[in-house]
Amino acid sequence: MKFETAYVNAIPVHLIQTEQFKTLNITVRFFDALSENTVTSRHLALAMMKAKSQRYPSRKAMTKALETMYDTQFSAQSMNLGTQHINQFSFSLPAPAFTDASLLTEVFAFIKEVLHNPLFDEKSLREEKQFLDDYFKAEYTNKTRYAAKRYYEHLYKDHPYNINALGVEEKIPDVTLSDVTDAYNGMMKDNPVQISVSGDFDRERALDFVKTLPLEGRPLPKDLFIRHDFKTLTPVKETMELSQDRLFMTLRSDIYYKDEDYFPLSVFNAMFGESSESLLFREVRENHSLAYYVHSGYAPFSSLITVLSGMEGRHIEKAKTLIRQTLKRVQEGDFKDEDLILAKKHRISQIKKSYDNIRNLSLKGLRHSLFNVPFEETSHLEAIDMVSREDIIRVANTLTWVFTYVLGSENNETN
Amino acid sequence: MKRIEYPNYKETLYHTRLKKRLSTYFIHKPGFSKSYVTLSTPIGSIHQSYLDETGSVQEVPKGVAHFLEHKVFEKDGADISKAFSLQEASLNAFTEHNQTTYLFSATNHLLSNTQRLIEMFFYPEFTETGVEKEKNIITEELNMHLDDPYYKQYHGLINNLYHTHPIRDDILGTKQSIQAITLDHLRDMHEAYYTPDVATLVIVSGADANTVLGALESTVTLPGQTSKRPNPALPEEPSHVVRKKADETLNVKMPSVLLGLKLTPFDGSAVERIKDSLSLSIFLDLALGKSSDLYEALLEKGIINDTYGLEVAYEKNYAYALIGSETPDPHEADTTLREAIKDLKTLAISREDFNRVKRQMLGNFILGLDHPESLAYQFTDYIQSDVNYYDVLTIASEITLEEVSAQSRRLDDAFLSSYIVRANK
Repeated sequence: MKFETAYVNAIPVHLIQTEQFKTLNITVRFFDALSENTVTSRHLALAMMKAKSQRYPSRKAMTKALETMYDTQFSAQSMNLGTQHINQFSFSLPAPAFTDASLLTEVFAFIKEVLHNPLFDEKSLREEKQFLDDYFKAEYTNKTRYAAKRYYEHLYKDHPYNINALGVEEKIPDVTLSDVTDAYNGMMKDNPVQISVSGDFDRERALDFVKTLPLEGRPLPKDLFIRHDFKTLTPVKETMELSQDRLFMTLRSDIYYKDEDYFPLSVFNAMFGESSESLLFREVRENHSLAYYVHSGYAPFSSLITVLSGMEGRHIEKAKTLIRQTLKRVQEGDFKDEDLILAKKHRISQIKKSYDNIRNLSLKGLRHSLFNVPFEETSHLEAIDMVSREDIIRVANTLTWVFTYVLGSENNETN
Repeated sequence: MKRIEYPNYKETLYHTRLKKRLSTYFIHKPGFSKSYVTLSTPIGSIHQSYLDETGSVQEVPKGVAHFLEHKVFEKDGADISKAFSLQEASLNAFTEHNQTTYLFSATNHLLSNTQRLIEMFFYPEFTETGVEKEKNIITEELNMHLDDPYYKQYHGLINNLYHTHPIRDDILGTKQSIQAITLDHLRDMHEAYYTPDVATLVIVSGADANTVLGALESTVTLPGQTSKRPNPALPEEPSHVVRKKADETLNVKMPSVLLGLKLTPFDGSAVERIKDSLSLSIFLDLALGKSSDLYEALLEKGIINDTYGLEVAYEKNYAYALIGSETPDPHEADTTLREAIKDLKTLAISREDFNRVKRQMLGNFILGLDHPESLAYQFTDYIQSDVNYYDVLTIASEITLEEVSAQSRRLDDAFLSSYIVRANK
C-alpha cells in the first residue's frame, strides 16, 4: 500500500494506491466551523446535491445513473469533527478491470455533475426539509437512539459541541433557497477542501481529474477540538413507557486526542468496557446477569467516556454501583495482567482490521493531514504495545464521574 | 481438495470435506490482514422439535435455537470467547429463522482459532448454572427488541401473513418459553442439529489455503453419528393471508406502514429456485424500487418519505416481499400502495431497465468481494440453498426479460397484507 499527498490547485489530494481491493473510492470533503447558524442550510445543501442535479433532475434519474454505472455507491454525509462541520461526498465503484474500461470516466463526470451542477429549486428544498423534519421526529421511534439523543442534549447543554451535524430541528422551517445556495457557494468558494482516491488506479489520471474541478485549496483547519472545563451535572431521569430502562454514565478524563496519555486511555477504555472481554461486560452481564449489553466508548475530542447499558428498572441502582466499583478496582490496580493483555490485543486487532476497508483508508489519510499522525499502522501498534499496568492505573485515577442519565419506565420509581 | 478459479473476478475458491464430513470452503483474499470464518448449521427459530431414537417427534420450547447460540460459548463454566481474544480474534454468533452461524474475525492465529471454533461448536459443555444465568440476559435482549416499534410492526405483519408457519414466532422465543428451556432441551437439540454432515465452514483469508486446510484435516476431531435427528416437518401453511390488515397505536411521532406480499417458493432444483428468486427480486425492484415511477410519484405526493424500502426474503420453505415507509397518513399510504401493486399486473418491463439491472447486479457482486464479512454471509446463505455464490451471476445471466415480466402473476390481492403503526404523539 502506498500513501502520498499531492497538491492540485493547493488542494491536498491523498493518493492511496493498493491492489488489495476490487473497488475504487473517491471522497471529497468540505470543512467549515461548526455553527448553529449555518449547520441546517449546509446539511440541506448536501442533501439536495445527493438527491438531484441539473442533468439528473429527479431521484429516479439519479438512481438510474448510478445503477447504470455498475451500482456505483454514492453517499453524502454531514458530520461533526470537534469544532468542524464536514460535508462529505463519497463514491465507490467496482474497478473498471471487472466491469467496463470507460466506467472511471463516467464516474468522474458524475462527480463533477454532483459537485458543480446542483439543482436547487423550491420543490426540492421543500422535500428535503420535510425529510429532515421526519428524520428528527423518527428519532423518537427507536428508544435507544432517543435515549442517546436526550443524553447528549443534557451532557452538552453548555458545551460547544451541542449542535447536531444534520441541523437544528426548530430552524428547518426558516431555511430559504437563498440560505441553501449561500451554503453551497460557501462550500465551493470558501471552505477548505480535501480529496482522496483509493484503490488500484492510475496516479496521473486521478490528478488530471482533480485538475478539472473548479475548486481551490485553502489551509485545512488547525484547532479541531476545545479543551472544555466540564462541570459535574445533576443526574437526570426521564420516563416513558418502556420494556427496558437505558442507563448512561459519563467519565471526564481531560485526555484528548494526541495527548501523551491518549493511547493509555484508549487501552484503559478497551479493558474497562469497549470489548466483550471487558471488566464491565464480565461484571454486569456475565457475573450478575443484569443486562444483555454494557459498553463504554471514549470520545477523544471531548475527553469523555460514556458507559451505556439497558436493563430492568429495578436493577439500575445495582448496575450503577457495579460500574463505579469496577472503575475503583482499576484505580487501585485490582486487575489481572491478562485483562491488560486482552485489552491491548483488542485494540491492536481493531487497528489492523481497519486497514481492510477501503473507505477507512480515506479517513486515515484525513487524520494524517489534520493531526500529522502517520498513515501507516506501525507506530499506533507500537504505542499500544508500550502501555503498562502503571499507565492504566495512572489514567484511571484521573477519571471522575460527572453525569448520569436514565431513560426509565414510567411504572418504576426505584431509581 | 478442489480448487476453482474465477478469472473474471480474480478470485480463488477451495472446497474440501474435513474428515469426509464437514463441508469446508476457503475463499482466498490476498492482502487482507483480517481472516473471517463462519461455521453454520441449519437450525433456526423455526426448528422447534427433533426426532428421538425411536423417530418420535419431541417438542421443545420456542427460542431454543437462539438460547443454544448463547450457550455454545460456554466451556468449563466460563465463556470461551476469552481464548479467542487472547489470539487477536473476536467471536460472535447470530440466529436466524433457518440457521445459526458462529463466526470470528482474526488478525492472527487463523489455524488455532478455527480449530477452537470447530471444537466449541461440536463439543459445548452446558451447565445447569450457566443455563439459569443466561435466562435473564436473553430476557433483557428480548426487552430491548420489544421497545422497538419497527420490530413489533414486522412481527405483526408476519403474523398477518402466516397461519401456522413457525416464522410467526420471535427468534428469541417469549419471556415464558425462555424460562421453560432446560439443560436437556439444549443437549437434545444440539445433538440433533449440530452435526458435521449438515454444517458448513467458510474461511475468507489471505493465508495459504493448502496449509490451513491440510492442518485442519489432520487435527480436527468430529463427533460420531447421533441417534437424534432434525425434524424436517413443518405444519401445512395455506397460500392466502390470515388477515388483510391490522393496525396498532405505539409510542412514536412518525406513523408508518408495512405491506407484505406472501409468496410461494419455487418447488424445483436449487438452481431453478435461485433463478426464480432473482427474477422476482428484479421485477419487484423495477416495479417498486427507488428507480421506479411509483417511488417518484409517491414521494412527490408526500405519501411516503426517503425511508421507503423494499426487501425480499426467499427461503426453501417460505418467501415474502416487504414494502414499507414512514408516512404522515398511513391509511392513505396503505390504500395507494395496494392500488399501485394491483396495477403492476399489467406492467411492461423495458429492455433498457432490464439491461441496467444486470449491470447493477454485476457491480454489486464485485463491490461485495471487498468485504470479507458480507462475502462469508452471502456464501453461507447460498450454500444452505445448495448454490455456490460465485455461480449466482452465471445463473442470473440466463434470466430472460420474459421470465422477469412473468413475475407479475404473483401480485394477487389474496396474498397481500399490511400492518400500520399509528402515532400516539
